[in-house]
Amino acid sequence: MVYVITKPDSGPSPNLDAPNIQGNFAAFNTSFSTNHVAMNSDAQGDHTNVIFQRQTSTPDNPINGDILFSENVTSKLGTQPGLLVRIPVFLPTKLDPTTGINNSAMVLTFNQVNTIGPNQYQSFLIGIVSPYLIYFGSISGNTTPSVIINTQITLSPAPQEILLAIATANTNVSAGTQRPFDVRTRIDSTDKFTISSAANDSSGSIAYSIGWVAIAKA
Amino acid sequence: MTAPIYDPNVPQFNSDQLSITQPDFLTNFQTLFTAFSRNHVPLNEANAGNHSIVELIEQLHPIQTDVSTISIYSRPVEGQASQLFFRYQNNIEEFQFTNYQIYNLTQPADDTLPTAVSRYFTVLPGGIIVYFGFFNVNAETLRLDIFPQVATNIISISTCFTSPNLAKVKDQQYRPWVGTIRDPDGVVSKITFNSPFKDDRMFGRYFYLILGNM
Repeated sequence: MVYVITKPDSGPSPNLDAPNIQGNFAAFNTSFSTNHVAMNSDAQGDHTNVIFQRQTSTPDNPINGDILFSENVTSKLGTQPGLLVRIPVFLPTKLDPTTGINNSAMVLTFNQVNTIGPNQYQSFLIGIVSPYLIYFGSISGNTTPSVIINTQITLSPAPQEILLAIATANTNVSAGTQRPFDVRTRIDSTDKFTISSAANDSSGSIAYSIGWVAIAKA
Repeated sequence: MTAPIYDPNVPQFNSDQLSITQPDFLTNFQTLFTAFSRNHVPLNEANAGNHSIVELIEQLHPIQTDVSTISIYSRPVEGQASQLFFRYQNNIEEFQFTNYQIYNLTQPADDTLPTAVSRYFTVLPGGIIVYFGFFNVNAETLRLDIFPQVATNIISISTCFTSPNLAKVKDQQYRPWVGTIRDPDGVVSKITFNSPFKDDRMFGRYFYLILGNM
């Protein structure tokens, strides 16, 4: 059934338009049932789900509220539709004098997460233009006396640029002053960084664990 | 010309003839069409019923949810514009999903310089703000200005020494510990780096990850 906006018309016999009237009601019922609880059901009008048609440009926000929409988001993985929100611009304020915000929409999603691991996990953070990706995990093993730990981490999915790589040892040096392993990081490329530690120095071999977090541009 | 108004009371039984109520029918259909076209693919297009955008008019109160529904809506936040809120089923406590207004901060033109500082921020549900980047601690620079300066409470600060020379050991016991400086207006504007060893044992470039609430 097709919804016809010009029916019923004032033609010679209104009875001829009875099928058109019924057709419009039927078409409306069908379309309304998409994404919404159907007519004549409890909670009719509520949403069952929301399917977003991808927009070709960022919509304006003329309302007193927020606008959710879908638009293409470009990341290292490629161009994928994402979910974005555009709130009313409120800057500058007394605390934050920043101007020229242009009220860019905030990207809420990325189309991939890794919650299975086992050594590396990944999720995403809200960003502008593209989201930030947050990765985390840990490395472990047994130390070798006087040998520096150098473990390179390759982030997956590969990001555009690593902005932060923090590592923290969960293991103490076994001799002398009780202190955690020293740990440092080095960004090697857009998707790789190295965790390094003097570990247990010259003392005996012990088990170690070092946790890490990285944030990158998608 | 005023916009047509939807009249749910036409046609009436017995008192109206179809030939008389035809204009009312047409008006109602056109009004339905116009109203439905807001936020939805129009009724006379493919995929009618799907959403083009979803405009969430600001709500003054949390939305009620029953045992099988969750709700997303917008509400005003003091000092900000409308933000997205979630309320899970059975009217449990709502939470703020988005926070503040993310924008790009100025980054160093040359991030290899010893004086370079990088600054990024994002948000987490619950009114959390997240600052991150790298900062060089040296004799002249023992404080990091964070932006935007809107956090009233810093929950955690994590730092990690970073160096292109992996053989350069930075003994953990010489790492600086961190503190905060709160401005008279109540917001935290600076992170401080403190250590009795104000020399190469402490100095260097550090990544920082700061979580706070507003």
